[in-house]
Parts: sequence; C-alpha cells; structure tokens
Amino acid sequence: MYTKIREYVNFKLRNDYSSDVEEKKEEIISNIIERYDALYEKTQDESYSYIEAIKNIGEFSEEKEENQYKPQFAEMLLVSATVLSVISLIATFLNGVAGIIVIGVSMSLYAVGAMYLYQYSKFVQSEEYDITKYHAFIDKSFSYAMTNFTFWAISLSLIFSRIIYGFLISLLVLTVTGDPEAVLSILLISVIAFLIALTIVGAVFIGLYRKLMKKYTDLTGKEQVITVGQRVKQFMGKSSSEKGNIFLSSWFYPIFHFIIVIFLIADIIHIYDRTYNPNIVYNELFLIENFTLIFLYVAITFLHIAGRIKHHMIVPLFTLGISITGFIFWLIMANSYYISSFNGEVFFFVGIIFLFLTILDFAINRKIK
Amino acid sequence: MSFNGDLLRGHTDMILLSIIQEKDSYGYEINKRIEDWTNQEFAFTEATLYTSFKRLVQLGYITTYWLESESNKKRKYYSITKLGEAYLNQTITEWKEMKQIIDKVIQKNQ
Repeated sequence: MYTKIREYVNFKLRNDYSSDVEEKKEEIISNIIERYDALYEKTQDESYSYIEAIKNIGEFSEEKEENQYKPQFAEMLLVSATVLSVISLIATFLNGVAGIIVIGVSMSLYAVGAMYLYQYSKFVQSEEYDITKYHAFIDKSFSYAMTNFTFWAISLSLIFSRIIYGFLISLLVLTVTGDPEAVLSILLISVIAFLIALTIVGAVFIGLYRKLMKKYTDLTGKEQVITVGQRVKQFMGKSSSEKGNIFLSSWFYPIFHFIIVIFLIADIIHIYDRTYNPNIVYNELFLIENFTLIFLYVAITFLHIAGRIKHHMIVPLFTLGISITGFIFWLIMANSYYISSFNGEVFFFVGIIFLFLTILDFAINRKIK
Repeated sequence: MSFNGDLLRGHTDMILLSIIQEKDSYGYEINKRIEDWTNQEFAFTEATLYTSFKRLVQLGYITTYWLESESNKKRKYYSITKLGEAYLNQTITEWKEMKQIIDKVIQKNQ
C-alpha cells in the first residue's frame, strides 16, 4: 500500500517542476503513510484506510471530476476501430466509396472509445485514487492511435489517388482512347498522386499523433505509450510456459487438434465411399494429404504436451498455416476438378474459429484486472 | 454542533505557529492535534499544510529539519523562530482584540 501511496503522490505532483518537489513529495508521502498506518491500526481495513488517508491530500492543481463509464465496452470499440482501419485499406482497394465508409466508421468508433476510456480514467483517479488503473486506461486510449493513424493515412491517400485516377481516365476516354502510352502515364501520375496524398495526409496525421502524445505525457507524466504493435511484439516474445491466455493453456491444442483430426478422418471415410465414381479424381492425393496432416497434428500435439515446443507461437502458426494452405489448395482443386474431399471447408472453419478465438483472447486478456 | 472549517482556515498561520510554539512538530502530528480538538470534524489537507508551511519558512517564521522516528519513519519537523514567535504574539493580540469587538457586537444583538 505504501507503493500505491507513493505512486499517487508522484502522480499528483507530476506537473510540479519546482526545485524542492522531491522533498515536498517525501514530506507528503510520510504524512499520508502515518495517517494510513493509524487508520489501519484502528480498522484493519487496507482499502478504507488507503482511501481515507489519500483523501486528505487536497488539490494541488485544478482537476475536473467526471462520471463513470464502461471501460470494457470502450475497449472493444477501440479494437473494432483498429480492425476496421486495417479493413478500410482492403475496402479502398476494392471500392473507394466502401473505403470511405469503413474509414468513417473506424474513426467514429475510435473517437467514442478513446473518449469513454479517458473519462473513465478520470473517474478512477478521482474516486478510487488508483493511479495504476488510471495509467492503464489512458495507455489503452492512446496505444491504438499509431495503428489507426497509419492505416487511415494510407487508405485516405489511396482514395485521393483513386479520385485522380478516375478523373484522368475519363479525360483519356474523351481524348486519346486506347493509347497504351497514355494509360501508362495515367498510372504513373496516379502513383505520384498517391505518394503526394500520402505525404500530405501522413503529415496531418503525424501532427495529430504528436499532439495526442503530448496530451498523453501531460496526463500521465510518461514520455511514451506502448503501442499495439509493441504489445504484439512483447506477446510474441513470451515463453510457452507462461499462462493467462487461451492459446497458452495446456488443454487448448490437444482438444482443438483432436476435433480437426476427427473431421479429417471423416473426410477420409467420405473419400473412400466415393472412390467408385470415375468422375471424381485425385482421391489418392487428398487421402495422402489427410493422412499426412493427421500425423502432423498428432505429432505436434504430443510435442506440445511433452513441453518440447519452446516458443508458444509455433503451434498457432502451424495451425493457421495448415488452414490457409489447405483451404487454398482445396479451392484451386475444387475449381478445376470434380473432387470428393471436403477438407477445404474444414480448414476454412478452423481458420475462422482461430480468428474468433484470437479476438476473444484479446478481449479477455487485455482487460484490466 | 455543525462545524465551519472555513472559520479555522482563515487563521491557519496562527493555528500552525501556536502548535509549533509548544514543541517542534511534523505535518501529521499537527493535523492530528487539530482533528482531536475538533472531534475529528476538521483537518487541513496536505496541500493546505504544505503551502502554509512553505510560506512561513519563506517569511522566516519557522525552520525545518528531518528526523527519523523510532519506527524508522522519516519526518520533516518544523520549529518556530524568534521572528515567528513575535509574529504569533502579534496575531494573537489582533485576534483577542477582534474577538472582543465581535463579542460586543453579539452581546449587543442578544
């Protein structure tokens, strides 16, 4: 509790740049600790004693109090905004209007989510006197900014270049229709337009991002926020023995792989049942594929149980890799030949479930305990 | 009895100097005495205490030193100076004069 008191006083005086600030902090901390000790001796209630002791600190600067909000909901808005910012790039490639809509939704979700978390952090600070939580909420509000801003900037630049490209194409149709050199020039101009747009939009977003980071420093006293990308990097570096996450649970892969193997066996039986049909081809190929995959799944599961796989990302990447490759292979074969295997559909659902679990895992493990 | 802390806040310097004049003391102990006198209804905030002490130090009315308690707790003690004692006597005199005037006004109205 002493550390919590120290953290709170440090936070309250984070904007105090006077020469005697350290001595000031020490004096206030020592007074509050004495008050806390006296209250705790009387009540034996840590939480009550902490709040009552810290209440007595008073105000060193003007701080407005806010109401309570729902952080988990807000956090989901931020995650959704980030996912949509990535999707906006793909949508922009396919259709400019769709891209604009997705960017708009992403920006709105981000704004609402960040505002919710900001207000809640203020509430946590003023009512619960909990600086650890306050910092965590503020961190969440800002940590998604970098990813969102990057994708918004690229998508918006792409939209601008699409507009220019469309304009130039219509001009070409009206003037020199069908000239390949002119088409090449237009493509070149579009790329240049994209780069120019990216520079302008990027500069605007970098400016906004810097302002946000300055605000972050003012609010928390910390220089840098840990971005989503850095968190992913940290997660990737975790050892497989660490707990607290669906993918790191010892039971997850044996059960998940067992279900996949059941479906692959069902696929083998299905192929055997149809071998009499002369129109169905490449049965042997799918049988070999299924048997190989069953062997691989069983082998990797045993290695996982035996603790022989040191890096926790190997198993999920293996599962994801198999799903994507298996599905693409099946798709190509199914489009060209008449086949009886349905393992591509299995891999499709495995991929979807895996993606869903990733989101679920994020929602469960990223919330503040 | 409803307690009006604002009346006390108006005399922060006199209250603090009076307590320190008795014996050298530190923030929590000073506040504890005020709380006991007011039946736990009033205590200065750390912000008020620190600001007042800082001003009194700058005026030369008190001096400070750090001391470690038997339980190894570091405490910042305040000690009154001659100048502080003179100022305290002056404010006490002013307070008594003011009190007499107010008493007269109240008695007149009662």
